[in-house]
Amino acid sequence: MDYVSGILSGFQVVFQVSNLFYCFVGVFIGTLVGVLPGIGPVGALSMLLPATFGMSPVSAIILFAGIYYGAAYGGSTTSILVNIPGEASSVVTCIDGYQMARNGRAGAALGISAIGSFIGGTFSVVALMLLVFPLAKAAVLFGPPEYFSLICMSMTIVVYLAHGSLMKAIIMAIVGLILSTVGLDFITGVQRFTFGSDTLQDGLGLVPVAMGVFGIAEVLTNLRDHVERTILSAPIKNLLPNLEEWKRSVWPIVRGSVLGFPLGILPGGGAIIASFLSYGVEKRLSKHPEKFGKGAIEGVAGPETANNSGAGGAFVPLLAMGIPSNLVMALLLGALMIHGVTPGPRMITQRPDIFWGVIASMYLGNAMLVVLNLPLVGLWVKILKVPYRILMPLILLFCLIGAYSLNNNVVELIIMVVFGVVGYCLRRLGYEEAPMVLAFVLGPLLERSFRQSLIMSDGSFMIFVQKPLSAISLAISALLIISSGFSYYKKTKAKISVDE
Amino acid sequence: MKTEDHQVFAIFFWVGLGVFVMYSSCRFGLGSFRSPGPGLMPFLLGALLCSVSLYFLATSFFWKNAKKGAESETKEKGQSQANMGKIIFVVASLIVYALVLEKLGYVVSTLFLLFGLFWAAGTTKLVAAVSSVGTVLLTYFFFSHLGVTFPQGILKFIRV
Repeated sequence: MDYVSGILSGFQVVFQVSNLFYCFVGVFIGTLVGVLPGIGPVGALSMLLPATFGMSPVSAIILFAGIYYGAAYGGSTTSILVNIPGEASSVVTCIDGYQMARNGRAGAALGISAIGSFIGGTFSVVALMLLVFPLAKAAVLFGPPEYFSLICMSMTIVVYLAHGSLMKAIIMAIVGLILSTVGLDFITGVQRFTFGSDTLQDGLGLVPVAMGVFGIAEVLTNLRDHVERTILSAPIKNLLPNLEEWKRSVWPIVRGSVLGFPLGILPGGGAIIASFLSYGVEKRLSKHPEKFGKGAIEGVAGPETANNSGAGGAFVPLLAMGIPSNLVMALLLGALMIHGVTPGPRMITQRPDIFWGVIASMYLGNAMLVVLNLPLVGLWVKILKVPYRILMPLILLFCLIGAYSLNNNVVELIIMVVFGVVGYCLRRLGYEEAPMVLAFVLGPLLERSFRQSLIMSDGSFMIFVQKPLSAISLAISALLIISSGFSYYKKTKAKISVDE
Repeated sequence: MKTEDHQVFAIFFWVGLGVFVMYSSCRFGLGSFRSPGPGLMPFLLGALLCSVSLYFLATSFFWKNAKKGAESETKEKGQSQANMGKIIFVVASLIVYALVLEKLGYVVSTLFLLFGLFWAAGTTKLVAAVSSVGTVLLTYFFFSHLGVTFPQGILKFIRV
């Protein structure tokens, strides 16, 4: 199937009334969770996973994809109007977006953010479409050693890019891998860490774990550290930037699109890095870097474009190889597997309706988001005013319904609450949950690839360096480990000398 | 307990977890590299967790740097203790909810849970009651429509 007929068939799928509806609902919910601080796309996807049981796989993934890229749009609204990022990838938008709003240019900031997001999002869909096929063809040739090394590299990058302590991120990744070993061994059927529980024989579920460490832990954290939100009360006018602002935004949008996509492919927070890097690049290239931080439109246009372009890039490893690059993709993987579809190179040929349907829905969803985010900005501002005392019980209830309805099993509710408390404690102690949950998702594939590789090689570890792709992936991992280890050693040494 | 103490406690917890995982893995059967058993991967991960945690302990906490953390903690203490009560209440409510859900059914148990949560969050009793009833009915019909089966519990005689 060539690109033109593929995308046409995709539009046929997405223009079915039900899929059109789910695409709209997805981007609407995405914008909503992006706007509301404290509940992100991971939580929303976890809660809605059971609601997709009655849907076709293509509708489910259209809905979920819409939530993901919709959240990247919505996150900017809170950054600009409240100075609280709705999403991690919108953190950098607070710097100049909020200043623009204070200077009476909230409309222009929201406008350029939505337009940049649309252009970045559309660019990434085109790039995704062109890149997935060659990658998927290559991925068919991957064997267990390549998969093992690629997953090792993914996890090393996730740990390397962690925001806080490197050692804590490594510990989290190892804990995630240990958690993934719970349940029956896939070869021998031996029970591992099940403690006699029937529920644990199938392993820990992704939904209770993810909803616990993200949904419940977020609520508990908000209960402890209550943050007052001050929303800009002035009316928002002139959503289109003026001519001067357009001129200043064109190149940041172009650079943000090109920069964001490849960074989005990287495992772990690609869209976040893309937005920060874009901000840095724009500041460096600007003739007036002193205006950054005081309401420079380039500081909104570039990062907002980059994070949406990055959101599209994140689909590449999932669709081409079946390897999720972040938590949302991990949940998408889980949702597809529940529907009996395994993402990866074979999905494109075996289920072209899903692949092309998602691609087409992303084109359409990006257009819907512009409509949702510009004329309806007043609605989002009103939603922002909903007090947390109303939201908190609702978030908890949706988490409970999500965890229970997956298997109608109350044990999973308890698992979710336990992981909620664990997630809260981890946050208090400065441990990041993302490496743990991503390692938890990738763990079974890592173990399977590791054991199959050793069986294939008759116990020789040389198999991991004899295959070129595997060797390259491991070399990159080793370089990252050495580099981060060296920087950790230097930091620790410096601290010791200061204390002495 | 200071922040620093919590951090040290956490690291000892990871070491303990690593040892437990290694010990359990031996019982699952380690196999050999030619024929890896079910315990091999967890054993290696347990060993890695112990090593990394001990290295972290050695490099991070054998020098004193807790002054800043301890100061800021004292300022926050009063506020956090008040909120800690809410956190314990919410966690306890969720566990009790999980335990009684199938016996009482979705409608009754969720009604109690939501009332407690709304009230704990700071709404008045009237608002809490109205919000709870509305939310329970809305979610029940919405999710039932989507194919989710809720436990009927003590209201199983009522057919909707």
